[in-house]
Amino acid sequence: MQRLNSVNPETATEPAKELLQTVQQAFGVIPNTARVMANSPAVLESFLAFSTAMGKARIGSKLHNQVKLNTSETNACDYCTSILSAIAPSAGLSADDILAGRTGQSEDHRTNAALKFSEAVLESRGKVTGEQLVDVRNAGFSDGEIVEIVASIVLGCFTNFLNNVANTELDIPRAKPVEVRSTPTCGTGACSVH
Amino acid sequence: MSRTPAIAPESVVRKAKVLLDAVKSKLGMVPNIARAMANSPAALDGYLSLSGALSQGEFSPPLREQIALAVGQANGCHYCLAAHSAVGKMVGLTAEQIKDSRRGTAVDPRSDAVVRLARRVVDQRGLVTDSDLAIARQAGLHDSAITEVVANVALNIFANYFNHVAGTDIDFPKAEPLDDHREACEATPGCDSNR
Repeated sequence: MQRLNSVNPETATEPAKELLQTVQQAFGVIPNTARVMANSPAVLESFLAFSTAMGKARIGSKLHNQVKLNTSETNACDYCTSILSAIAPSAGLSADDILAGRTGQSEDHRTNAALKFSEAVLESRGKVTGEQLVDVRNAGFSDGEIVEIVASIVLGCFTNFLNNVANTELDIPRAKPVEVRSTPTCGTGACSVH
Repeated sequence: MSRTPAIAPESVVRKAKVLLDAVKSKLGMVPNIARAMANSPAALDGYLSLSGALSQGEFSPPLREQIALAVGQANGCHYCLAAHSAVGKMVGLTAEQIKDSRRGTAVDPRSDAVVRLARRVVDQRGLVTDSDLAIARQAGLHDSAITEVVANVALNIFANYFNHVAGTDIDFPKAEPLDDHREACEATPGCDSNR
């Protein structure tokens, strides 16, 4: 059962109403995840602004979406994997691109390196080794693009965590499960600060 | 040592410069995190937009700093702890409140519920239990506040992960040590306090 309310766009008050209309214009529908975010207009606005800014990322929308798919698998967010798979074709991803994102394995060397790096960031909460950083650089990623991979992971975590908290009901077909290489680790693991 | 170059505000392309100027006018300085993020104007814009929109939410500036300290501690981000100890002080948190936040608690019941839920969201990647949510609701957190806790966690994870990847040089006074190793350890998931 869903654990947070979904705001009904028909009965929403401003500023949530207008933000939900923006979503409708952008996607043609108002996914349930946006209705959950609308519990706090500031949150929905922050998400839309962050997503819009990332639309200009140099890594391009294909890799941006593949990183989000990969993050969603690692964070075990069914809703996120399903909705990202559903909207990915409109962002130019083929079925193979989607599968590569979800499994973290791509035949394209550059994409594969980015997905490996992305998994390392999630697993270590950013504390990647020097070697992992060298690997992604050797695959041709600039400092700016590395920053963008991190930002894509975070955008993924944003929706993953929220939909996991809300247990958001699927309003789109559930994506068929795939075998993933990594185990969930976004919030676990040893670290110590004194 | 920093692993990605810090971008000097006077040397960057126009988009990044506009963003860094905005940071400067707000904080009076351009911290290294913003300079390093400026390697990608899109990501810096994303970070600042996320932060800016959330500052218009229902949480006060001190409460948002308390969340930042709790999440920064959970993820072991030295840069973030230094920055948010400094900013926390600026917005009125006492030294004890700063330490409490890092331990994942607060004296005020509502703040305590917010900080605790933030930690649970980090530790469980959002897969918190029904009982976690019931405790938050009993402390008066409605769906809007719960949603804001999650978004603020995401904002801080951005800074945490980014600073780790970049190895951002700390340009704030170092965060105070928590009282002893055991205590720091107990505030940190996965830490072996006997080590």
